[in-house]
Amino acid sequence: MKAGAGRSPSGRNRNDPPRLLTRLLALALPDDRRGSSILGDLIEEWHGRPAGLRRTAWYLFEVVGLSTRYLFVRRRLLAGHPGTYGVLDTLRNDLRHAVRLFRKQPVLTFAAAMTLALGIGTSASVFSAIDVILLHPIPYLESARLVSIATTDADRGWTNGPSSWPDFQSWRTGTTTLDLAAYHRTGVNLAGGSLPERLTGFEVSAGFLGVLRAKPALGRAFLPEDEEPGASHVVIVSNAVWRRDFGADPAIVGRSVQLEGEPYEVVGVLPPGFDFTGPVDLLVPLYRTDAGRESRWLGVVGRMRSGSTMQETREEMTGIQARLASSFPDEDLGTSVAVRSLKDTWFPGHFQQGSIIAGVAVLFVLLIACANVANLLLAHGAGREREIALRAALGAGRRRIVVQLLTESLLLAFVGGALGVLLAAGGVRWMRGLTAGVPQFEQIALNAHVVAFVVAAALGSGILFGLAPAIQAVRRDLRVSLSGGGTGGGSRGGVRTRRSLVIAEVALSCMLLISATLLVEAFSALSTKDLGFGIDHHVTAELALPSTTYPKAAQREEFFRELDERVAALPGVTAVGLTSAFPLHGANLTYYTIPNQPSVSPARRPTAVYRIVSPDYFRAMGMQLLAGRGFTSHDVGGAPPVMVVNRKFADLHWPNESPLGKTVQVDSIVWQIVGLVADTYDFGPDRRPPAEFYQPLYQLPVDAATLVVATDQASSASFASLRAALRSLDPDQPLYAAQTVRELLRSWLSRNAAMTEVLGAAGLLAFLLAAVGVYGVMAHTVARRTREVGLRMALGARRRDILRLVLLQGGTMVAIGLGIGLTGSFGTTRFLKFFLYEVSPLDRTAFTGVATVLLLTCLLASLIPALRATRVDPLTALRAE
Amino acid sequence: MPTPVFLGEFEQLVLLALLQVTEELRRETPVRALRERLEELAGRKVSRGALYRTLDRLEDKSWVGWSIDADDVPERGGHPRRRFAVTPDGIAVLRASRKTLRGLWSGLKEVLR
Repeated sequence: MKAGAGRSPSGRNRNDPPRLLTRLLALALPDDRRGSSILGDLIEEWHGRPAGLRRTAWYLFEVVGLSTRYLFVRRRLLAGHPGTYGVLDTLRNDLRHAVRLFRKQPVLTFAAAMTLALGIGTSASVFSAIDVILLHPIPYLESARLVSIATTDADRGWTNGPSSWPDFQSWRTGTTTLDLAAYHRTGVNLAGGSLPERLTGFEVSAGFLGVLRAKPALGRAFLPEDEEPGASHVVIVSNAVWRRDFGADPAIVGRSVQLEGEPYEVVGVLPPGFDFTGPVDLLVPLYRTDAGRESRWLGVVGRMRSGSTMQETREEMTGIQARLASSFPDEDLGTSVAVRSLKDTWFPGHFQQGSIIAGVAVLFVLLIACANVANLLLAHGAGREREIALRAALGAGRRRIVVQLLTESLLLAFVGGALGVLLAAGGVRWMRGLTAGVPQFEQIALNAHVVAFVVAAALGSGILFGLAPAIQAVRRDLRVSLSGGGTGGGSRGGVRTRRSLVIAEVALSCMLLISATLLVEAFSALSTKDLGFGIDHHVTAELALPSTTYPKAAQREEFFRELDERVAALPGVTAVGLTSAFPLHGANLTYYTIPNQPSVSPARRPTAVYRIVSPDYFRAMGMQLLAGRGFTSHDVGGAPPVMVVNRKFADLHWPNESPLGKTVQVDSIVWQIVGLVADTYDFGPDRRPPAEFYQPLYQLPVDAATLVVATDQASSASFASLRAALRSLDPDQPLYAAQTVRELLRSWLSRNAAMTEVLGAAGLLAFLLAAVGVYGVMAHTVARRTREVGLRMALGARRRDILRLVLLQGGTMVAIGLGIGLTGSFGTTRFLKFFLYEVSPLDRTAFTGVATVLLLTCLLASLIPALRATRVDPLTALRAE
Repeated sequence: MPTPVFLGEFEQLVLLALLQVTEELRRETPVRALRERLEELAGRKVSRGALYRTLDRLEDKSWVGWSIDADDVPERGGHPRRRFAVTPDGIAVLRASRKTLRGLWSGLKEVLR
């Protein structure tokens, strides 16, 4: 394999044909230069074709064509005994027979294949995501040895907190079981191109790439001396940036680039496809700082050294942190560390749980599809009794007949599988959309794993739905069939099997529908919740001022004031706010103290979320001012320090009085509270609002801010004008992460949306398939009982009686299925609990609603054949025999 | 009288196409070029498997031969490339076949007009 573009490091090169298929073909071809050259011809043509799904489909076709040709012809050619019949000849005959049969029954074949395609396609789509999230979650070598190390603090409720530079240093020097590296997300402005560009990546300690076992494609990784604060600026760029911005210049190492208005020397290029919880544009060194131990902002990742176990690592790390806590009580008292596998950190329990639930849901759909096809074949098999009896009479053994019938169903399954791959191509795109933002979601693709899954699913379902008809076929009393007796199709046993299958279908689809309904209820509760700030007609975008261009606070204040004015003057804009961090983007915490309250040790000072905001922020956000005032343009450096607190913060410290006029000390400055605002759901609708205070931007002009713009028109038009406003102020300033608040909320809810959509789709499919199944069986039963109905009517039964007879039969079947399904749901919906926001897993509306809808639909499905039964003309019916 | 040879229609097409391309290239023919010419001559898609199988059969009858291409083609995943040519035996068979066919065609001018 070439070392070129593609997936790293274990996956296949994206430019090569699917390896699995190539291997399969190699098995079928002669094992010599002849076979090898045929493979070569095919691969060469692959490279000559435009990349894409069509090329993969073409390859699949060619591989199947070539392998069948070589498999089925070779034996005869080499053995040279034209008279002997081998397994392959039998198979070939059976396949021919099956193809002939299917051609004769195009509607049946199409219906069965499409049903299977739906089942297999849906499962394959979901499997493509499961493959990445559950089976190949971490894209590094020996990823099972990778761990994340987080600071915990039981009193504060931190379970996965960041770490400080001094703590990280102590860990790095103290551990004997781990190689450690620290990182911190960062972004820089790259100037000089046609448009100013924002690149994102990480500040990382030396050894970061070593811990992940990622080797730079060019140049070197960072060295310990790069961490020195005075060291010359160096940067490692991603493969994509190297190709896009530097034309894949092989001499890039040593070149200088302008980042944040300063020269950086490129020392390396990342391997292709390198990512870390998402795409990475660049890495810069994490400089040693003199920030204190209480200042925590670093993520820490580690690789267990060979021979050490998770248990040892945990013990060692908690021991080190315990010593730190006693040596530095002012900063580290009460803290400990949590060592988790990196996989569990990136994909917390609910991901794995969600993937499994989604997997089970689509497996149900596949089972229902199989049941439907089995039903079709059973009904069809009933018509073939004589053919099979004839074969048996001519000397075919039972095994021979079963093999033949199984060959037919397998062929059908593979046709369904091939159609399923086409459906999965769309489904994979759907899964990527659903999981956007999840680490690694870009790896979700219609790859060899998914194709292998389809083959396995087709094989499994082919056996599953083929077995019942095959067994049924050989169990029949052959003499009866041959002599032409019987009831015109279908023995008693066959009918029983078919009914059981429909009951199972109804039960499974009932369970799926209930789960789907619960999720939809929960999701609509989540997405319509009042978050305390405006969602629609609000847009956000981020900007960051480089310290080289705007070194002084006054310059930044001036810039923000000017920006505020220019954006406010744009048409359609009703209010403009600036904040140090937008609620749904995350939050910064700071330590504070309340003057005149009993003092605590520095490590035990309380923390709160803080935001630094412009005067019009509250209005632009649509937040409610409960008391006092917001900020004005007079709250500037030099004026008395003032802050606004939220309800939660006020209740925490002054439960029964007004917070106005009270003071809060942050660092060494005492701030007076001048306003009280309502709580906001900063961490999304499913998390409680935090205690929070706001400080004026013009008093603390930070260097990065998020713009919040309330508009009265379509938001898409506004982004361009926002960009223009910013460029008119400073042409080198990129505006990035431009989003509407609605979009932001949507991505925040994406995991719930993903579960809801997958189960919703599965439920709907199951529902349709089950309805079709009920209809099929009832239609067949009615057709089978034509003579009986005729007789009954001849003996005086009225239409109503016939209708009741048929409906009762269908209704009983559905009722049994519903009973099983409802009971099953009682036991299983609690597994959804994580995704059920404000909805009980036993929600009565969902249970009764689904049961009613299913019952009515299924009765309707049996009503059509029932009505047909009532139109039976007794004379014709009796003459039918 | 020489023993009559049995030359199927597709085999004949393959041999003729192979001769044509080999003449044009002035060297042995890779399968891809052969297949393109065949599809052009026959006016239909030619399945890869059928073509390889026919070439195998023609080789067994020693009417075509092949050699490994010495040029290193990068995008074949390290697999060799075969180049085919019609052997003298093959040319003899084609000649014989043409003769037979001519004999069969002669005197039918009026009927087939």
